[in-house]
Amino acid sequence: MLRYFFRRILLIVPTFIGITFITFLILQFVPGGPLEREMLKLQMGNVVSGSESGAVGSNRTGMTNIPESALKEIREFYGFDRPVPERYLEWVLNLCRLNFGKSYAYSEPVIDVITSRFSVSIYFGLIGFVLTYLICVPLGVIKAARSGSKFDLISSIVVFLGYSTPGWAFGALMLIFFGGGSFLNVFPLGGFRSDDFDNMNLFGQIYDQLRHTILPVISYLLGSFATLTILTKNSVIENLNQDYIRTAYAKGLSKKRVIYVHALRNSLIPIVTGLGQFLGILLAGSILIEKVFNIQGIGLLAYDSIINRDYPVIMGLLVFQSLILLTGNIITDFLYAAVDPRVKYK
Amino acid sequence: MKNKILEIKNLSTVFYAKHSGQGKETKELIPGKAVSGVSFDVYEDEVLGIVGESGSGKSVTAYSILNLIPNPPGKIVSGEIIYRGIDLLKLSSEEIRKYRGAEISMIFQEPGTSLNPVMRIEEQMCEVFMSHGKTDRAEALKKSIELLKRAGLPDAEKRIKEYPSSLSGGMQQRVMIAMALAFRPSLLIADEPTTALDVTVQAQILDLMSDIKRENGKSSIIMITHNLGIIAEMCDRVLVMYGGKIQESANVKDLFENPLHPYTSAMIKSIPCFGKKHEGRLNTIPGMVPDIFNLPPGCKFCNRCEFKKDICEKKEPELKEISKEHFVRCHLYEG
Repeated sequence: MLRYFFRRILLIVPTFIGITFITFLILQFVPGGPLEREMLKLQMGNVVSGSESGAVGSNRTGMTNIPESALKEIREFYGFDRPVPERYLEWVLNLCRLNFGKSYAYSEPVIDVITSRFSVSIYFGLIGFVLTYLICVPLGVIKAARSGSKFDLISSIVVFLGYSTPGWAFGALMLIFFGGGSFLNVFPLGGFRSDDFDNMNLFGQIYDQLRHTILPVISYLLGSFATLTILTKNSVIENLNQDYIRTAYAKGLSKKRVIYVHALRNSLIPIVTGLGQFLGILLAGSILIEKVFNIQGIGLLAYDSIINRDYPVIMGLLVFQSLILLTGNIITDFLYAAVDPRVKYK
Repeated sequence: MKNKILEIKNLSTVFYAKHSGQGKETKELIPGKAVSGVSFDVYEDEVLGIVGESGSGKSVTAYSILNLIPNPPGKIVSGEIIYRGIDLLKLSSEEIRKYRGAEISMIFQEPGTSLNPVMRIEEQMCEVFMSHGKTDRAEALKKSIELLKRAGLPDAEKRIKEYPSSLSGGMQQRVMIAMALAFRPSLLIADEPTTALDVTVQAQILDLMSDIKRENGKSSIIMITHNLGIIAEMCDRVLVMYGGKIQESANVKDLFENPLHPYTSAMIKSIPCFGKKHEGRLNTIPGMVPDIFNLPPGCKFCNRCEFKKDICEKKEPELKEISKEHFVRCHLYEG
């Protein structure tokens, strides 16, 4: 068992190298990289200066305007003058010293840019994660126990309505109704905390944080609710048809014990399996919801850095997220063995 | 005359489904008669065998006794199941719980799937004691280990901490038997307890059941099987079921020496005999068990019967006593 997990942890290294190298390689071929941006900037500058001096339009299209020495300087600045493998190796070596480089766009160390955003996403992600499991698993079990009842039907309708509504759209609706403006003024219009957060006392801070949390978390969860609830329900129903349930009834156990102990324990197996991946997805953030609620999370950062071709930030995010997913997979395997005694790793 | 401990009167159990079994799907749920109008008694200190092919309704009869038919799709539509003067079918689910696993216990065909795979044996044994009255965990554990030893599980103190998947099929069935014996039940219903086991293990399990019956004194066993060898070995009295009805009932000696129903004699003929040379293929009964959603109106067996007469298709014969305690449902013996 221990050996198995040790091997799995070691296997992270080659997988990780594979992921980062391929992304690194692709980034080199994407048009609109920093080099082209700088060139464009210089060109624009030339055009502007050109029109000022009166020599209109003769050289508008040419790259020839940029002196070769300037190009070389830019290439050297970004390191593009050296071959890809060499630069990748340098990036990896820096990574080993926890040096992620400097962001092109923010002129800050990448690690600072990411950690500040990441804490916001982890906050929402973990709350969402815990809430989903706390609500969906019991709801699914009750639905299974009362399958076909009115409660089952109505909760199914609610859950599927939630599933079919995009979280960001519902978020925007909630902002209209509860976020001041047109109707009720219960919740703030967005942001992670109020501007004067640092001046509040502890209770004020908790209250303020809560007010900023509720609407985004609802939007985050809307979609994942249905999946987990129905997964739980189906899993319990499937287990209720198994032979050992008949044995449990024949032994004279109460219906409660049969469902909540015998059936539920077996039903946890598929639910737990999804845990690792689900965590990864939640921590990845959501661009649209972050945009609607004006939250500076990881989703928006990823989007911005891709648009801006902020390579060091993109690579930094990739490091974090692939590590989360890879460890998430190992945690899943571990939990699998923990809930199902038939699973043994060698 | 021995005392009756269980009296089953006119039991009918149906399963509702959309499928008619003829390739066409019906729109409405239609009832399939798994068991119809079955009546029999179980006496103190006897082993009653119920024999029949798969789909003849023998297991459904057994599950109906403790009201273990999953509803939906199944439903017990009529009948009384009187255990020591009380109709078990009239009890609420909370009331019948006191009988299940205590006065009447069951063991099942597949010990592997009949035990919960993710719970330790310890927990599955102790919960029987703890859900029938006030037994604390330590005492329940002590009693469980005793029972397991009695059921012949070697190393019971250690094995009880394991999960079912780490035991062999025979060992799992011993655990099931130990569990069923927790309160010295006066009736043990065994639903094909050896079908899923190796032949050598089968014999061990049957021996164990006989031993336990002897030790327990006045307890009775209902042994459901399609193996006539087990019937001959274990049972005092036999019911032959087919198409959800009792076709013949007799003492085990009468049944084998003088089978009346064509179905019974055909079954006995199908047993391969050691030492006897068979010409060509073994005897079989041609055809299939009738579909419970589409039972023939007359005798349920007539389509496969070599003595079929015109009346067999139209009218169902009554169960009739031919000689003392030997009943048969067949037109050959009418009038």
